[in-house]
Amino acid sequence: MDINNVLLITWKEILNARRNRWFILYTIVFALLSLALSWLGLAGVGNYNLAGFGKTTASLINLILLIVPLMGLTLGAISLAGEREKGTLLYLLAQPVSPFEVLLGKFLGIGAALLAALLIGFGLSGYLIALRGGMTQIGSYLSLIGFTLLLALATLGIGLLISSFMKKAESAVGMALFLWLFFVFFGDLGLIGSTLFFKLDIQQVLYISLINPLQAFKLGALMSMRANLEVLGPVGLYAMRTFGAQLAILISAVLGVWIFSSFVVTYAVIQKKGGL
Amino acid sequence: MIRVENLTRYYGNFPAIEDVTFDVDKGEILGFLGPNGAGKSTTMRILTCYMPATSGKATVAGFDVFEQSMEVRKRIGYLPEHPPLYPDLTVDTYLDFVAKIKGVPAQERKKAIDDVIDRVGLQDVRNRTIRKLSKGFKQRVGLAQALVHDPEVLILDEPTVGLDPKQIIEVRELIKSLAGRHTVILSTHILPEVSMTCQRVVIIDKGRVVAEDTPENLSAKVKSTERILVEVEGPQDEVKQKLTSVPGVKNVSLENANGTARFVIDSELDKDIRKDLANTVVSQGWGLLELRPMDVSLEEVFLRLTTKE
Repeated sequence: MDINNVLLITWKEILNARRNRWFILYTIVFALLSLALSWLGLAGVGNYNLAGFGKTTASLINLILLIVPLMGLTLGAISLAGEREKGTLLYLLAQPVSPFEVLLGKFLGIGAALLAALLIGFGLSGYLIALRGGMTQIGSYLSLIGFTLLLALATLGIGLLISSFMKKAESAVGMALFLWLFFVFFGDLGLIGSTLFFKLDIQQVLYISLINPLQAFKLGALMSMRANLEVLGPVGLYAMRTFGAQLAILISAVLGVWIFSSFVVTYAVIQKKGGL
Repeated sequence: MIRVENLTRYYGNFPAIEDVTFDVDKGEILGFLGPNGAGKSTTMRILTCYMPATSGKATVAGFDVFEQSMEVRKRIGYLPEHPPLYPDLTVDTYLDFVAKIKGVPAQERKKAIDDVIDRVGLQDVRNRTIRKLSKGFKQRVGLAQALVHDPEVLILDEPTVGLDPKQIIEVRELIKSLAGRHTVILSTHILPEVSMTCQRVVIIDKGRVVAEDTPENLSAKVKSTERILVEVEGPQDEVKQKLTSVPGVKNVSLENANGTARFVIDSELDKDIRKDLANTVVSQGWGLLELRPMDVSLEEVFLRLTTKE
């Protein structure tokens, strides 16, 4: 692997993202909504340094669960399919670079741009909270940022995987939206239904819920905020009792496995299909 | 410089190309012709490492396209029919990206980009986003990306599509100027373009090579008669009758009548009847305005080779 080729494609992806209207739109929406939620979180108590980061972190979790997977999935989905549609993927794969370098460069480039977009939102909110509400519970806010970045990369990986199969960007985005709906809404309902129908025990429910990267993120984010998971009921308590402080590592590992496995499968598809 | 031997590519059970074999010498410009769906793009895509062949062998600059594809990729510049452009990048940034990915050394990169921008006439738009360029300029950017690393081999698929007449002439001149320094495969449907720029032609039909020679030799091979154009000032019907009576003449057709009469005369092969034709016209007291042999055009060669069953 030639690292210069990887960095070159990463750089090209970052340049592309700067002018990509979806990217710009997502960055603005995320920044505005996180600022608005932070502002609301500070209302009434911010002036007395009582709110800090804890309350805002809680309200940001739902925003992140909705928007970040949407960003990761759709930006990933547009990526390879869009280039395939324009013929530039075929072109890129015919240059003196390997398919691995192309894919890694694209993942790192879009990933870096996505993380930068999220950090703009988190940075603005963090600045507002620090200014108005003090530095209380900043640790939970930083943990939230960490888990969010992992979630973003995991969903980006899944988006790229969808993209590797599709010939048109539109179809890839459609598939990404379907998957987003599935993760966000039907994931919970499916888990509840399966639990009742198959009479799953608490351990099985925990492991099945961890398969959904959004659920894994939610567990991690709530744990970092409250240090215990009674808010998630028996499953949360079971998770805390079984894994304790190791749960954060387990959740990070789950999201890491999503990132790694989706990248490996995407690479296999690209190798088989090429740029066509 | 380029050697293609028994190249075959199947899409499922359908053979896109079968046993395609041809060579291109160093510094030569080769016209690569064929009807739509004949297998031109498939052959070019295999040569440019865009896709593998099912069987056969191809080498570029001595490197095997399949076994040493990275070496081949560095030595080829390819302009596909639809130029692969990144619309959100500026012309300069895009060419810088291509130069880097093609391995142009850092100290030579700026000069390489400046040179190619001059050669294809992109000076006025080099800082513009590609999305905002006209079709003609986009085509030029496509040509620039194929040339920026000064490749030994250039493969150009319809390079003048979308250009205005002035730009077409400029691009043809540019392609002609590449001969000697670069080896070029030019695929186009504009056959006069091939006659004007190519030293040799390969015609492919239904996935197989049906002809390979110089345009002149191909014309000679396919022609079944000698053809002569005669322009005469005189009564058309009478002139036609007299010309038809010249020994060796097989057919006389009136091409147009615009005060004068232009006749296209087909005669027996390898028999020069120009002197007899001239004598016939002059002895009748008619004005002989023009008399010259006509070659079979490349269009005719192409049609005869690709439409016969």
